[in-house]
Amino acid sequence: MTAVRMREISKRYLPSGVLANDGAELEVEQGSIHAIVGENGAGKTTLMKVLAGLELPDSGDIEINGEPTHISSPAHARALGIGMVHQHFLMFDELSAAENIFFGLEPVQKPRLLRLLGIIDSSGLNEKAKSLANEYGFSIDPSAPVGALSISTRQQVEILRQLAREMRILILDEPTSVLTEQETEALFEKLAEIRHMGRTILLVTHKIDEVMQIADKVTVMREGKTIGTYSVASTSANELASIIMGGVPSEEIQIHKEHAIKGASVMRIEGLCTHRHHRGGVGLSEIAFDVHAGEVLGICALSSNGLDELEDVLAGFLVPSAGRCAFGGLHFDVRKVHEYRRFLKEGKISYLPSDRMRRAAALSLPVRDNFIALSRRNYFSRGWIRSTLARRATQEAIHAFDISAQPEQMTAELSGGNIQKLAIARLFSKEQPELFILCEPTWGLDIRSTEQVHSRIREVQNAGSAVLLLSSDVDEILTLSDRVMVLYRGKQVLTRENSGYLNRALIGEYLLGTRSA
Amino acid sequence: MMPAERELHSPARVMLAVGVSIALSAVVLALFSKDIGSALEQFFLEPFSNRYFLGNYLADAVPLMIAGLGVLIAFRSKNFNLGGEGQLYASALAAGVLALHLPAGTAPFAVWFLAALTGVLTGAAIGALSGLLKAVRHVSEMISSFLVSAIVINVSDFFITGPLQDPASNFQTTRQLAPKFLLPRILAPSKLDISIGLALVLIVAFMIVDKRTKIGFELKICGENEEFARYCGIPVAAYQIAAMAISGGMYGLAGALLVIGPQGRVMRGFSSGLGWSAISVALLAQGSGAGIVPAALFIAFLGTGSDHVMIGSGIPSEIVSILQAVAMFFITARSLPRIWKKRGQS
Repeated sequence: MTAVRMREISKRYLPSGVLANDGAELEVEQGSIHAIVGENGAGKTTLMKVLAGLELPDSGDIEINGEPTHISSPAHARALGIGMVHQHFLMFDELSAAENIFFGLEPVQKPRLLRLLGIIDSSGLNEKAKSLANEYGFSIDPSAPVGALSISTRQQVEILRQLAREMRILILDEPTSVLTEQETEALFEKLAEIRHMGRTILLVTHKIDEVMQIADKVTVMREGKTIGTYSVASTSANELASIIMGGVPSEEIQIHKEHAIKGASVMRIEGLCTHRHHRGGVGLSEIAFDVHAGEVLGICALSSNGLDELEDVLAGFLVPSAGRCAFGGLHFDVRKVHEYRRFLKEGKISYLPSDRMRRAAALSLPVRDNFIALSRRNYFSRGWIRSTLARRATQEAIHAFDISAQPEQMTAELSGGNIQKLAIARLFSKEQPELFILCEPTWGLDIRSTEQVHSRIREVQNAGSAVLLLSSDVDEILTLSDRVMVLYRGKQVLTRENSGYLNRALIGEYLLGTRSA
Repeated sequence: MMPAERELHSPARVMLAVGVSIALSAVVLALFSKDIGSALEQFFLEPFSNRYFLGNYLADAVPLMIAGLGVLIAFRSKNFNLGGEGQLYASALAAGVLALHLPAGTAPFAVWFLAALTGVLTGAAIGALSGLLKAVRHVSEMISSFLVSAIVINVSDFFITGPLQDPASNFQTTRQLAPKFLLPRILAPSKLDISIGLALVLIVAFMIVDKRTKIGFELKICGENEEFARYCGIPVAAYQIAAMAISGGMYGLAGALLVIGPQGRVMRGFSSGLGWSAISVALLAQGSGAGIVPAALFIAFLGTGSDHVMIGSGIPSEIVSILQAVAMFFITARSLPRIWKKRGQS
């Protein structure tokens, strides 16, 4: 039986006029896991938003379980049993994890009077959330306010929210992009079980290996159109990759690294500590490293092991509790964040945030405004905007980084991958800094864009910048880094040259804490 | 979240709100008046019927434009100034006291300038206090501006009824300014004066700053996403304080212009709800500088129209409050169009 049938779906975003879906088609069998793949801006998320009632299509027909329907709102979609786990979390930051999961389904107090008043049984709520989380192999603190949680924990809350509602058609938009390998495994096991119970799962992803691992069928999209739907059993990963890329073979990934000439030390950090509980994290203890001109230092950790805290310290967002820093010929106490922030402001350090939605963009402003926001000195002359220059520069960056966007378009209309590309384009269009701090630079990017970003990183490295690469993606760390550092529970458990000695499995042992220096 | 925010900016929504509140005004008039025909005429047509009425109507819109613009600037940076009543009142009093104490031979232009400046500085200082508390101590600017305003109103009341009371008057008021110190009138004999020109200049200036300058750009980013603003190296705290100071300063300017303009003195209860009406104006303008003019004209029209019916048909003045509330309800209620949309489908 067909659970979802979407025909000739077209959606144009106004006022920019970008055609996100152009007669897209989708047919999903009930009780299957159906992957939807394509490059950034192929229209995958838009098509899913139409299905979830978040966007109204301009034209097209939808049938759910054989019934023609016009999905008019998220509530309507929910009533049809369609739930969506978003790539960018839509939740109440001030409410606890448990309250977010059971929002609208809260258990009320037992005594009748309290029940009449609708008083929420909050301890019961936390219990319920805890047991739900355990059932699915997630580890969350149900009473923690969601805004204080790390990005991966917030995503778990988002997934649990849909699971708690027992949706019959579950849409997951890049669910694994922020999960660790174990969490991904646990999720996939559960997804397989949900499928077994006759439910339908739609999985939007970039990762072909995940498609091969878990999906039954896969639909490939490109430029808003459906290219085709294939049975995973009769398709190979290579075939799929070439269909996604539009028949153009992808450039070979250059695993082999040229040995760049290591220059002088650009930044040295010693004895860096932070207090616990920032963003629900573990706190850092006694972190020390230096990074040289022309060198990439890759810093790797699984979620909640200190990478978020390190990012926030290096971004000037978090005041550490102790530590010393040497940069640009100055030595200073890292607690004097003002001294450090100056380097970011003066453009000596360029920083790419991992959380692109919250920190790297103002979504309700046009793409142009987001593009020029970081280099205001260049685009304002004596306080007045140079709009022709700003528009031209934005257009050039859009072209150079292959972003599906217009300078006047609202940034909120862009796909997640395109917003990430915009943030990267903005950073690499600036004057070259002494140090790059790049956090999860390729999260949510397709293969081609990931390669583009990696080659940009190599370019700036060869041009003499130092690069700090904070990433939870071990392959990325191994591909790009000259030296690798691993954090486990806020401690530095490995710092080593990236020679033949290091490999995926070995780093995995350090990441999981089964091996230490 | 995003579609809802975009809906808020839809001009159709505003026109709907305006239309509904005008229609409802007519219904209320019909309920309360004996002669519906003349009540409607007094409400809708009389304010425009002659030079005198039209001038008074426009004069009422001027402080709304200036103060409304101030509220709008604070909204831009996601700051909500609820202290307008006190800021306007205290600034008017400060400007009035200064004007009363200037030597009789002072050039009128100097009086206007100094009084306006005093008003701006007084209002800005009160507003900046809340901005400072927010930036340094994370105190909600809504609560602090409201409470500070409540204090300021009482202190101002004390001065007007005590040390500054005009002994020759039966009203609780300061002395009257010398006529030559008042702003020149246009459309005499109405109370409209040249301050309407200043209001329009300020609105145009804001639109230019907003669209074309770095300050406007940075203010916008602070309002849209504070974390992103910090990432961009924008001094967020400074903008918080500045936005509240500007907002207070505009209220102060509106107050000062009333003293050296239509009022000529500071009476007890001088602000008479202007602080709140200015918020209505800013909401109605939907974040647009150009929108301030029609919004202020509309809110002023509700007040003027009901004054006319009150005098002409003896309808209680409270209906203006009802009408304003209805207008605000329709403008701020985000969920209504969705409910309608759904009904249309089922």
